[in-house]
Amino acid sequence: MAKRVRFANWGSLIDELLGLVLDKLVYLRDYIRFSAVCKSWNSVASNRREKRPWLLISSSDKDNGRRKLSVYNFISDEIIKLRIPYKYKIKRCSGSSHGWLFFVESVSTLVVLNPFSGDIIQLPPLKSVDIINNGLGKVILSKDPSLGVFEVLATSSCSHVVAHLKFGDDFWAYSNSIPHTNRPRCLIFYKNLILGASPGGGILSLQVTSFDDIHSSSSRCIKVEKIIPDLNNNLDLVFSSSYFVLETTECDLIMVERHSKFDFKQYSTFKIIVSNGQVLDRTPVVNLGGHSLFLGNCNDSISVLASDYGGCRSNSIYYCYSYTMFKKHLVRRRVLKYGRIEEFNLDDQSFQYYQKFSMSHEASWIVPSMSLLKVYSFNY
Amino acid sequence: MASSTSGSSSSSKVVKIRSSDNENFEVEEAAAARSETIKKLLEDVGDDADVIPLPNVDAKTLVKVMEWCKKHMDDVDELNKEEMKTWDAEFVDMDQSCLYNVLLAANFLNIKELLDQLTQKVADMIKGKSPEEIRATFNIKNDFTPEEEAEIRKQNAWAFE
Repeated sequence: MAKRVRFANWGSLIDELLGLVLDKLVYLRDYIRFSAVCKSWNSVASNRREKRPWLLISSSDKDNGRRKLSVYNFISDEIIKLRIPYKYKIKRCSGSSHGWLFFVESVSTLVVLNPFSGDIIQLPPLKSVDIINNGLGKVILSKDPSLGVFEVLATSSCSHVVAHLKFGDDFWAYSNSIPHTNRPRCLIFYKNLILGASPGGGILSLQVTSFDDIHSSSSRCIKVEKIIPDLNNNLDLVFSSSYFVLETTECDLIMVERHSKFDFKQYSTFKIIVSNGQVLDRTPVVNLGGHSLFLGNCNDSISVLASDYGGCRSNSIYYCYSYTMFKKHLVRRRVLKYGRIEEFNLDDQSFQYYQKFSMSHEASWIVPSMSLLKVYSFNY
Repeated sequence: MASSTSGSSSSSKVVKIRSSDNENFEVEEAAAARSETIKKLLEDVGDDADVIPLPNVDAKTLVKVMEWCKKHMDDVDELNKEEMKTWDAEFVDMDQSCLYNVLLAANFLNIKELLDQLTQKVADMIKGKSPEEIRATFNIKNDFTPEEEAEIRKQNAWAFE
């Protein structure tokens, strides 16, 4: 029989419980102080992976115009500058997925970089004229590349074309030019499927088919098909609505519609029912089962269970929007771009706004997937 | 024998559990089943269960945990949400040694919601405190050598200001 615990011994509390406590802390300052309490607390703080999403912000340095990348915690209003290799500082970052960043090198080569570990993966060149001419749109990974073979999806800047690659392949597969109504606004790898949302809120299915000859890029192609009809065909609504698809920690697939016109804003949430690899239905839901959703415009939407982490409210949606400001009083008129987090809570239907921050490009959500203490000490 | 049953819901089934210091308790099954550990044990032994022994939890702690389970037995409707919040806040407001034992018990008994509330309480007690203050609050011995401690403080000096 186990001994009865009489005296509290917080110094040797099991790591798992200390980790749960650590997850509830919001401020980096508290994190660092936690690590300075005793050896066992220090070891937990150094090894507990951060699973909350931070905002990846790209901004230009005032003095030399060089790009800076940082991760930002909007709840605590804390920022950590990322030390990325110099050559990527002058390139545009095309978003993030599973903790990795994307850069385009020499027009068509996609480079996947982990800003926390410093690892770099170079992918075969993208040969779609559409992507080369119009630029890269969104990129997503099926999983963290450090966990094994992964797949990549890349779109051209207006999603005319989607490209797919399985790591190890020499060639990308491409779709034909996609008609307006089926251009994916967002994409997701879900179980063995590739799904997306159309501009009208319909559900898209992407199928990669292979032909016999595996040695040329024309051997595979991608078919984009609408499997659940649009929510609205009204052109006005299509332009003022955005759609996000994400997977919860309970493996449910959720679609969020954000409708915004002037000062009017509204969110609707849906569950996409998938069974045996088939998408069956899309039904409205009124709560998120205790999850917090972080919506991003770069296919980087993430969900966490709010009760696991400090600072996250359950059934809340966090969305980062950007706006520009013209400063007239400056000698040379300057355009300043800001980002701000909007929180919508489904329980009480309330909106809340956080501190604004400056940025030069679209911000995206990123999960550091290593301990905050390591992220911090690696980058300073 | 201590008993924590009450007449509130007369028809519900009662289960017997035994603490590490050999005290027996009778608890409504719906309350006890908030613990995934007890729920699993009940499923395994079926209706033949005599007394379920909980070798890791002493009587004082078990009374506390079962008090929480009883309160959280039924789903809370919207009206009672605020009242429940106040009750929960008062519940976790205990001295650090009691908190420690209830935390370990909640972990062993696998009650996720209680574990969340307790770890949140511990985090709230840490928030804004210096390492010295945290050590004093939780009675933790500083086992760093002076050099190690100086190094940690030097690395992130701003956090200790």
